[in-house]
Amino acid sequence: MTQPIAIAVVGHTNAGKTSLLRTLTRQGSFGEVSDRPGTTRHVERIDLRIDGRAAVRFFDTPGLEDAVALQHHLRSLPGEFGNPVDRVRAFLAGPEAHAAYEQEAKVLRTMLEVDAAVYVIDCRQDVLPKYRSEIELLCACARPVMPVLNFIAASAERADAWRELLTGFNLHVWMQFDAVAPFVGAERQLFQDLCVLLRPRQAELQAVVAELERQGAARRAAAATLVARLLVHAAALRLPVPREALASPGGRERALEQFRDQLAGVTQKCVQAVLGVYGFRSGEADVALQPWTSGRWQVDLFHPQTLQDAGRKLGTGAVVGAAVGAVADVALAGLSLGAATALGAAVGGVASQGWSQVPRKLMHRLQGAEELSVEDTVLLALADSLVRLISALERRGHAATAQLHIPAAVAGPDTLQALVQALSAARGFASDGSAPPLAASPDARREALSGRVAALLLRSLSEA
Amino acid sequence: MSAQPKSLLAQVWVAETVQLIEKNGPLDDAQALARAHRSALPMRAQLRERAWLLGERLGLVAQLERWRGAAWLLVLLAAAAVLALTNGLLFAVLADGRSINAASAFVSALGLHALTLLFWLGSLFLARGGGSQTKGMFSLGRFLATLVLRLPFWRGPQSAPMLRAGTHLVARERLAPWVFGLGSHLVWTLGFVFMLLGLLLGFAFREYRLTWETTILSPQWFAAFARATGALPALLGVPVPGLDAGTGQLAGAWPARDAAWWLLACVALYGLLPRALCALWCGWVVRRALRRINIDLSDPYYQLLLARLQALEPALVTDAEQPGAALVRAPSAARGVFTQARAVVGFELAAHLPWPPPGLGPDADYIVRIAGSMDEQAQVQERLAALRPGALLVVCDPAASPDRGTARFLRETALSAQRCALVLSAASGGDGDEMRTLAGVRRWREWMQGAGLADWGFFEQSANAAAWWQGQA
Repeated sequence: MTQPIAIAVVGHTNAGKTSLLRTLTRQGSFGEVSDRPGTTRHVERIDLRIDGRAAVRFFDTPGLEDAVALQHHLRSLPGEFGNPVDRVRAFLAGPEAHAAYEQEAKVLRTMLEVDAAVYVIDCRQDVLPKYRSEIELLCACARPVMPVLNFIAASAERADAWRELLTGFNLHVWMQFDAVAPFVGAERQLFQDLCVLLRPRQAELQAVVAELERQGAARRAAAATLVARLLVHAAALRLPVPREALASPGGRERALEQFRDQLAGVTQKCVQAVLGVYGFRSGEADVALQPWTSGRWQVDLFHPQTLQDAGRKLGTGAVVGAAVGAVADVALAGLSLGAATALGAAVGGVASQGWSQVPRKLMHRLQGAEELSVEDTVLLALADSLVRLISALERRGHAATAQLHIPAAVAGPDTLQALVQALSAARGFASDGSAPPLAASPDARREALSGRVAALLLRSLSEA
Repeated sequence: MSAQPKSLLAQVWVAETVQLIEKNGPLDDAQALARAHRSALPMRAQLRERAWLLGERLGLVAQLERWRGAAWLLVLLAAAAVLALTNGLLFAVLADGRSINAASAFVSALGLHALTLLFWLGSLFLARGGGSQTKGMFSLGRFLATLVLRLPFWRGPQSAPMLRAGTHLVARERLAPWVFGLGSHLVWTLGFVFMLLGLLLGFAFREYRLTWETTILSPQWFAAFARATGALPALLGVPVPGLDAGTGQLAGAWPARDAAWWLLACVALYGLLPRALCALWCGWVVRRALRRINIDLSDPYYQLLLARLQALEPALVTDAEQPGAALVRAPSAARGVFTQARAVVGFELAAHLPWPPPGLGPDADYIVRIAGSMDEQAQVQERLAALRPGALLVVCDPAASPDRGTARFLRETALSAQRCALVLSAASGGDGDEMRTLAGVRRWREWMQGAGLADWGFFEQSANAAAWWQGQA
């Protein structure tokens, strides 16, 4: 068995080393991340496992805080040294390695043990002499160094100055990586760039890239399946309301609210499950991802005025008008009462699923009950929000602590229209409130439809 | 607990059952998950291990053992089927004493077999097309369920979900016609073997007359029938029985020896051979499927578990923090005589920050801005030591992260000045960074306390610093 590829993550204090590792290992709980300088004071190691075997071993190091003085100290070490590494070794053997430069010594000691180093740069900072000293120190360890420009989105113009500096130190392979908001495929890019630096380990790194790709695809498929099951469930959802209840004052609103709550509850479960699939935990206080759990939305999103606005937007052709997120879209719910929906559902059901639903509908009609069901526009909005949730999660680093907001859609997503059409078949399914909607259904037709919807979702995800 | 080796099938079956059970709410799997993670197996194997550990707790594994132990019942069932089949076939052929109606014996020996074989091939075709295979599975599932849940040997507390999981598994892998086929083909194959043995025995030690009789057919028809069916055996050297009968005849006898061989060869070639081949085919398909069978990683259920497994990856501290090492600091209290001079030092300031800071420029006796290299630092320290200023302001960038390098510089400057203060120089117009600046100010303030620079003045704006300066003058 080969040794895992050892990679040290180094950089100035507070540059985002631990954040980068959280994102790379998909572990939101790794290490300690804070705004305070020098949060990490020890060297900590974490493995990236591929099929149970540690393929890459990351070392999280303390920040380099006083590189200027350390460089001076190194230069002033007495004696002749054949190369810079010997000088570093001499320093590590000396007394200052356990006194003034204890933290830096940890970094350099780790540097000498690893195959390569990832040098994290907060490129919001100006290029200062201390950073030059850092790079010189790291280069003195004679290990391949891969600079990673963190927070690139915040300051693109300073990045040029940084690149110039790196080129000056003969560091020609660098990459941009925002640990909090990595672009899709950033990890793959990182490992592929490491391939350039680590020729002998190229095959192993390629295997890591391939495996990460496979894992990503499996996660995406799982998330799409969850959303598809939710959509099928939502399309099949019906609430029979007796006519007397509708006629009574407030009865209509009560019925709507009950229906909305039902749908919102299931949607929230789905959102939690999708978060779980992507390794984001929802129960933790420090990773607050759902604005919907705050309870605030109950006040303003289910407000009649919001509903009215949404109704108007939906009516005037802006297909989706939403305020906050997935649940908001549900909350807006252009739910409709009355014969048209029931009839539409019946026709949809008959056309696609045979006659199984007709007797029940006739019975409700005879008993004088109306059926509440979810309109196509709501399904569309729901699908759109959840698709955007998935793509947002794919771009979200595990170091992110800010809440994730899924904003309202601006334009009607054309790609999802086919999906809503496919969902019309679900109108005829039994509205089973007791079966867990997010688990695989024992009904083969339902499962097949979920599969079709999931395929459509995957298509629109890959187009986005 | 499990002396029996865990076969892949058993593991996947148990995993499927656990998934079914967890449909209605998660099990308490913290321990199982941790143990599975420690096993350092491949991902799928870890998931299977977790399910297996849970299955041991829930009694699924014990149930599986019980079923394995009761497998002799299946053998018994199969043996009974073989016995009945052989008996039925032989009876159909040898029922009429010493006289065998050859054509009728041919049909009764191979007719039912041909029909069921066609039916099986049809089901194979349907299963390939998808569609009805699930329905078929549900009927098979129901059949198995009624059978297993009734029999005392097989009944158990967890048998219902296990059975459902098993049928799911078979349906997912589209194995139903193959598993069923394997059983039925084996039974038929054995049936034909015994039947052939019985016929051989009969033909060897008894004398039979092989006859033909008809009401509407002509004797030529029988001759043609014998030629057609005997063509294949003829290739193997079995003689085709000839018939010499006049046109008006309605009954007669075959040449007994030839006809007996013909019947035996037909049963072997048209009965035993296809069944044996089909059994081999089914066995091959089932074996291949069992080797390939595994849990489906794109299932959200397993992805959720995988995410949890990944979160268990331990972080190991390899080079621990040594308490106290960083706390040893040089004394920062300045002693000696000071002048009334005022010095302003800009330390590691970003290029876009205003310089000199508003309100501080004109009054300063010594004003310098350095990027922080060792030479610059030494130069500034030298000047300050010569100047011995009464008031020293060091201007820093609030957006930068304070570090030990900064602390060292500040402490060293403090040795040459009477009173010191730190000023954070905010960018004048940049309101986009306001949040970051605010956070930065808080960070610097907290850091000053922790870095032993608590006796320093701290100003967020240069105007306040100017006032401090004036007040001092």
